[in-house]
Amino acid sequence: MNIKSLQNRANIFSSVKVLLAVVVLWAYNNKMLSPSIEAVSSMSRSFVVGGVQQNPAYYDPYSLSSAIIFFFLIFMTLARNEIAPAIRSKNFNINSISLTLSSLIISILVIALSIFGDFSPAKGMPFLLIGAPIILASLLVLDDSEILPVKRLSGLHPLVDWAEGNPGIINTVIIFSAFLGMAFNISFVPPIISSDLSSFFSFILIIMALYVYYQISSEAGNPLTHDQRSSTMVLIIGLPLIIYISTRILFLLHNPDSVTRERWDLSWSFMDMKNTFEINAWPLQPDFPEDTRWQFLFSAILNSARATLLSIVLCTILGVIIGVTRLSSNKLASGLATVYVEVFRNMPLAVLLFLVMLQLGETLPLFSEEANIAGWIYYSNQGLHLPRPETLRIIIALAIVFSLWAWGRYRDRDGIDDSSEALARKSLIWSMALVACLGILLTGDMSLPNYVKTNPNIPGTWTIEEGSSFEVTKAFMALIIGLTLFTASVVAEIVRGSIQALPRGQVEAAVSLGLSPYQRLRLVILPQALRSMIPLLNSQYMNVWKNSSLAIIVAYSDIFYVIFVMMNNVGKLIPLFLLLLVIYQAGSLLISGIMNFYNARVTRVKI
Amino acid sequence: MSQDTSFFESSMRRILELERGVAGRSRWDSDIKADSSLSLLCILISGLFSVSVLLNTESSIDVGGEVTSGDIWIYSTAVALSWLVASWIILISVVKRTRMAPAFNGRIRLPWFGSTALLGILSSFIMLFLVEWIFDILVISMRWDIVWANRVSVMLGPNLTEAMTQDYLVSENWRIWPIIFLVWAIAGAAYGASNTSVRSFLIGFGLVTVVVFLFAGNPLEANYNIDRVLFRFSLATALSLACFVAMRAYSKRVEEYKVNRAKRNIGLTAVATFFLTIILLDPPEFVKDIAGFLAGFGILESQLELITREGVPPARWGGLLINLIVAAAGCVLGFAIGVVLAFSRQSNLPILKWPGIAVIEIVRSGPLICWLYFAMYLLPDVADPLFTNPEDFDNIVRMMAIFSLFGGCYIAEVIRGGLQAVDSGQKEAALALGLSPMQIKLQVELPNAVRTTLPSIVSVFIGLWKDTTLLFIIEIIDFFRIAKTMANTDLRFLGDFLEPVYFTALVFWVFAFYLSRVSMNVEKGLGLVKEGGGDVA
Repeated sequence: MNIKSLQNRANIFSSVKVLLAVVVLWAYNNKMLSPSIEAVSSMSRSFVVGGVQQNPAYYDPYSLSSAIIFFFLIFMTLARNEIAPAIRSKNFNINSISLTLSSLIISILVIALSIFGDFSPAKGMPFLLIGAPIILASLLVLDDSEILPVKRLSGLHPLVDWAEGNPGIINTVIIFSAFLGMAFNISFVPPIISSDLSSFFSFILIIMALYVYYQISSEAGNPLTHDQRSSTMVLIIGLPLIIYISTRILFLLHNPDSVTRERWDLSWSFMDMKNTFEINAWPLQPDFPEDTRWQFLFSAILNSARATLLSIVLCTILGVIIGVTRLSSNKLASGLATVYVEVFRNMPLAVLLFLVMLQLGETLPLFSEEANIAGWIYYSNQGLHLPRPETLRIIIALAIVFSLWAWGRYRDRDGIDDSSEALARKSLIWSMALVACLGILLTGDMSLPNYVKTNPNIPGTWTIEEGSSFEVTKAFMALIIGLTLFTASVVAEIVRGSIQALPRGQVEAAVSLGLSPYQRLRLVILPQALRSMIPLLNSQYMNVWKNSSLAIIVAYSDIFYVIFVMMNNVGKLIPLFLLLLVIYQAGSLLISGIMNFYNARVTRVKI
Repeated sequence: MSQDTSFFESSMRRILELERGVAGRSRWDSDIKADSSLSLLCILISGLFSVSVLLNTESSIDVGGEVTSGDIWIYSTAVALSWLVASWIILISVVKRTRMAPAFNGRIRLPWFGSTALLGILSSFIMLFLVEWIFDILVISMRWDIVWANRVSVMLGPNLTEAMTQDYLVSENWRIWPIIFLVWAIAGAAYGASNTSVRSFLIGFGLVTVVVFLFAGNPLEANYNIDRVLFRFSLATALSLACFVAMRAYSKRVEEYKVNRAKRNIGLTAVATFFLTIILLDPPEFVKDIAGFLAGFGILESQLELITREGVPPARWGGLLINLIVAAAGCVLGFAIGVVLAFSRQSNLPILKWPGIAVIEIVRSGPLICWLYFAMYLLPDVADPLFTNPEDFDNIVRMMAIFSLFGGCYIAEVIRGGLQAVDSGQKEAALALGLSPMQIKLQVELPNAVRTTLPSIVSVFIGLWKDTTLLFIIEIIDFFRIAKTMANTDLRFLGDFLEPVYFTALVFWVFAFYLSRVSMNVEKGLGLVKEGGGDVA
């Protein structure tokens, strides 16, 4: 096993690798390029009968060529990466972005040619429109190469010397003219090329790829050149994919098949029409036959938002309780908390929601059994009916709570009083205030649920009068319970981990200082634990928002449910799908923004 | 004599420690004799109380219908035991912990047993409620026959079940059993190669074997040949044990680098098993041709002839098989996609960076269910021309693709964090040694990053496994869908719609719990400190 045989083995191995790569690349190029060529031909075929375009897939040459070529130009600019460094550097000369400029010029030329030149739909247009990106890629490949024949002839003529000094321009001009020549005379080109354009293009791409691979593996050149060559390689490999995606999407937008065209029709005008199904939404109940789809969507967004908000609040409270319990010294309590976390963390949310919904339906009594608490709260397997206080009194109660909080902030403006007496006094004041609010809410003109038996013999007609109660549907309850139980287990783990990550000495010092448990929590443990908790809680809250889309399992009218039914009714999948993505992304960004703001406040003090 | 008292003393001491763990320090902490006599008193009283509860519960439930007297005894015993614990805790707290504490600014003295004991009492009531409810579900109010009757269907889907249990169809048994044998063997070998103690492996493995045998061997409502199935499972168990013993002996005798190589090979075999499953279930054309060609030579003729038969197309798969295959695709292919995306996002080349960022952010912005719908209805529009036979791109393949993409984006974020944490000295040293950029990425950065972030990657895997339950919304006949519709399809079990759902929850929980245990063991093995405790996914 001497060096030579090892080297030979390495060479053979690498050439086997290269051969394999070429075979795979050939198959991949062909697979991507042949449908693209067909798509371009069908999109450029104009079949006008009696003034009406009969080919639904037809695009006028300007839009077709500009779409394909400008889409590719974006990737070309990214690959070349000239503009960002040129802007950043202080001395900006035109040479530094010359290749990007020349690719722009060539693209405009090609677009103009496609409009004014008469290219046949079968061969000419595909050759032009798919060959142009390949030409642009070849600009990258041959950018810094020299032209051997010119080198030999140097010194013969000043033009030749200039050509030798600017190989880029010469390369560009030669290749582009060759390309144009073939494009214009496509019918005269030998049939081996024109009959199977995709093989021809694949072949050219493989040659370019091999050349760039040779350049990269020789590792000549500074890191900047090496980076450029790597980008060129990525562009060459990605070129068939880019072409395929752009042509396919253009074709889908003007698809001959009407159902597919409906799916991909990028206009939201159908949202201004009246909605065709009913939903059950709380703060903003849309009016069934009258309101537009936008209003239904907005109500659904409010539905999702209130479910998410309530889940976040409840799961944080429950999660903190369980997380702290898990750290308690009572073995039974910490054992139960561990069991809770282990059970609910590994439970799939869809199954949990379904289970909760079914179990609620089983356990809660039937509506006809008139189960109630003192005539005020009616509960059944169709939901909870709570009494509805007067709006004015709700506002007064909220105002009392808010003013108490503001007065507390004012009183603590010079620092919070942490002694036990202050704590006792504060809890007394807050509990009295809450009792007073409850009293205000419950007295006065509060409407109780009015159980009406329209026909005493037929339980199906028994109902609770509209508007007399505040209804909490079973679907909402199931969603809240499921989401809370599931997310609380993860929050408990986060809380436990953050508190356990605190140095032991902190808690021991707090104990030795004689701080009460509440003071320990508020002054020592929480400020430090919150710093590590908040980024993790951020991602969990975004998960709650995205998991609320599972409300379709419990038939709760949230965003996904409404959009899903609209998709089934209208068939315009892409516009609705884009709406869905945008709404969920906006929600995530909002939650992330709030948590980042809170994070900045918590980490204001540098520890 | 002295041994007697010391046994008595040590057991009393243990009981006192248990009490302190549950209810806090007692008032008679310094006087052990008084303490222990009080404990005995409390235990006696609570024992009597629980016996009375036992007799009460037993007499209050009537035998009838599906409830046998054995069931009633089990339920009553469970309830009585939990009442034993609850009453014991209450008694201890009242007897031993009570002291008078000042309240309302020191003006009144109220009896107070301390927060630990209060927590103990609360937890005991919660435990009581849970035990009653669970045992009620298990033995009294629910009939589990529907689950026993549909065992095979829920594992493999209705089409494959028909093919495997009914005689009028060609049996497709041979497609599943090699995979089961392989999986058992790989599990045994993996545990043998890593440093698990024999006792812990045997306990866990024994538990799994017992559960499998009980589940497969229960003759109630079985629509398949139990003896044959049990025989094959015992073969698999024996194979697994043999692999465990062999790998353990090997790893004890051989140098560490060879053990690491063996572990890597086991991992590669596991990945190959995933691909083998798909090939065995639906062999592609070239595999059939090769098998036919080889069978012509007379080697293994009957086995190779099986492969040349018509495969089971993915549309006819179902049950747990689909969940496992889609989750495995999401994990395996998703890991590859995630590594590529992570390196793209990290790279300096804008042509890689911006598309990488775009893909990751777009895929992560929507919930998975939204992407499942995209894959089901919109992806075929985009991808159909790439398939020579558009029907090849059927539901399961679409789901595998989208799960891989989704899992890949989450794994990419995790690995990116790990890549950023790799010490730059490593990369500089590799550059100085003359490694090419690709070599640096694959052999220096990636192993470091994966090692640091392995717990988070496993938590992404667990999340992907749990998310395969969403497939039921897309009309794919997976485990959850079969469980939901079990009650509607069999006339004998029309009203039992809750039992299959509980069974589903149990099965999914077991797999996820096992994966999280593996993750904890891996963490311990790698010596990483678990901080934060939060998951990325």
